[in-house]
Amino acid sequence: MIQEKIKTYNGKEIIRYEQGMSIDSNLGYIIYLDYDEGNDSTITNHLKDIIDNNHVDNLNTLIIGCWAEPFEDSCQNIIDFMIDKKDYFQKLEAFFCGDMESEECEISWIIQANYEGYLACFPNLKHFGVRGGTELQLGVINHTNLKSLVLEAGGLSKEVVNSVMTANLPELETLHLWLGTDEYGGNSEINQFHKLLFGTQFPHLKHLGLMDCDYVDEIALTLKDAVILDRIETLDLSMGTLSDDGAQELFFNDNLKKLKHLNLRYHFLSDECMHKLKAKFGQLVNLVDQGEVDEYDGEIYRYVEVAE
Amino acid sequence: MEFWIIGVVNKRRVKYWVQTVKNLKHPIKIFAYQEFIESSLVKVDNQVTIRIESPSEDFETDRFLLKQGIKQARVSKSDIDQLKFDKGIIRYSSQWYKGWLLTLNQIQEKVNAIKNIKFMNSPNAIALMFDKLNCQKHLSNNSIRVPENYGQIESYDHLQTLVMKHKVGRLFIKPFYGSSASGVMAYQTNSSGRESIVSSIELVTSESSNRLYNNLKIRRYNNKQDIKSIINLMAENRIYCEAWIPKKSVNGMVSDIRVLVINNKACHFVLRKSKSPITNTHLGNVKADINDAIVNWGQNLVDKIKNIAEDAAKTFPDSFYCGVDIAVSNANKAYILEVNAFGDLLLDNYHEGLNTYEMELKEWQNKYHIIYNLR
Repeated sequence: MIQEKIKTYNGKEIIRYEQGMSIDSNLGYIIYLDYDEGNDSTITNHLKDIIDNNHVDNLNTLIIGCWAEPFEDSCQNIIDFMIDKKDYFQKLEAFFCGDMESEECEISWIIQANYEGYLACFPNLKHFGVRGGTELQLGVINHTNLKSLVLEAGGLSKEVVNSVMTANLPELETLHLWLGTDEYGGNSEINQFHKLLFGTQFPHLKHLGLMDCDYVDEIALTLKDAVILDRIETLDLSMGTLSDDGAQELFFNDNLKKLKHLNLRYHFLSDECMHKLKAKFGQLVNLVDQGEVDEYDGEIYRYVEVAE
Repeated sequence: MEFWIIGVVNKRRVKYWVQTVKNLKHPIKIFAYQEFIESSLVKVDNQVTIRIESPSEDFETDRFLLKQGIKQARVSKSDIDQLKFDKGIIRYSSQWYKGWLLTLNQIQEKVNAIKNIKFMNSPNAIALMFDKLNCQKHLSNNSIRVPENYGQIESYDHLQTLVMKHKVGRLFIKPFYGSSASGVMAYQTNSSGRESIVSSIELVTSESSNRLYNNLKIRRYNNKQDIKSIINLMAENRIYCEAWIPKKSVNGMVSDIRVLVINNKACHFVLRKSKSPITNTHLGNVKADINDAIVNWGQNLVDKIKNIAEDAAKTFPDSFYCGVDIAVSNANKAYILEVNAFGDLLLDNYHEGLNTYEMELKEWQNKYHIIYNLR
């Protein structure tokens, strides 16, 4: 469960935008509505204020938090507003949409939007992130400056993963996908990642996260001989349902030793298995948050860290 | 001054109070509810203070209260005798409440004719606090901020009607009667028909019947059939719903606050932190103290919380102490979620060096000018 808002983004401290505030280019801003704020306030009105007050040229880091009823209404109007007013937002370097705590709206309940054409409107964007997989669409992605792409969801659809895997992002350094679980719309498949793991896509990629994944054991198996391990620094398989089976594959994968960091935080490994990984990878592996499996009617259940 | 306590003899709540009173060398008598009601009390020689304790945590007391509630019967006397202890099962709570209400009335009647007896919390005040829906209405009528209340839910279908009528997708559903998280559900839905419940309720289905249990584990239900079964079963014993106030977080956890108000003063303070929407402490959540709240939220907000707790307590003039549960929204608005007549079982929690029972006794003595010698 997500219970804290993003504190820094694009290297900037994030503060809440309130009506009439002037914008400081050394800070990042989150715009969100409170439950008890009243109905006349909207996110797009806040954005309009920033434009009307001639502050928009200082706005380089923008986070959209809770809109009125994210479990009921999509944020499409916010995305469309920004596309419509794209000329005003040309200084934007970092944009994240959907930063809300589970008390405001749980991740799988957030109704996202279709971002087709959005990225192309903001060529200076370096960081782009979205939380929520429901109704999320990215379409064709082609952006020559984007350095990080982060998609957080309780379940990412096959189509969204396909958009990413066919994207043209020559400068991309960080890719984090929370793949989630089929119960919440996650239906991506391991074979969608073959091209990435065994090819030359995203030539500048340094940090790859295939996270919150309920088939992470399969990913671990597929990583055997994956050439991507020769060029990335960080592999993040955290938050998923990693078991001893997957860990065994990682243990025998000597290419992982080339990494600077292997994040396996939140897993279901046995003590023995953790010990083995620690002995082999030492400081480079993170093994905190050992989970306990649920047993019900003799069946064993492992749950990803963030689903609902 | 002499103290009497009416409660579940030999259980911890009674023991804590008895010990506190004995420490100050006051005489104390202990009564079970039935024993007190059936006693041949006509007059007392000294000033007597009566403390009525919670009837919770005891199966024989449950049996007694169910029999007291027999006029509202869902279950007959002989069936009550046949009932077996079934840890955590949720059953017959409205009959239980009727029995509790009658018991409180009988306690009141017993002392009506007698001078020199004072209740710390009167039977009326306890009855009102126990009836959560009426208690919320009472607070609202006294201009205390509570979550918007949508009233009783008759059934699952009725819940859907309420959701449509009020255009509200996130609700807390609570039993009319009950304490702490028992039977509380965080319910979500939207117009695409998706639904979920997060609760400590465990639905146990079998071919013959469905049963509900209170469980220490928080469960999530996404399946419409399960949700329907749970709501319909819970509705047999009266439930209501109110708006889900998105609670402000502390250190990455959901939090709410219990303030124990004694003699109209906010005293003990518990910040309850949780990884689920259900924040009550007995469900394995983290307790933190007032300093944690001050560090994270600032003194001003904490003072504001204390003030609203005191304001809420003042609407119960014949209650000397009560536990007030409060949620704070991101906009720093404080809402009263519940007022608990027996909300003082806060272990290892001190205010001005005194635990909850010591503080209550000290304040009571101050109020009635008894010479005391505490610690």
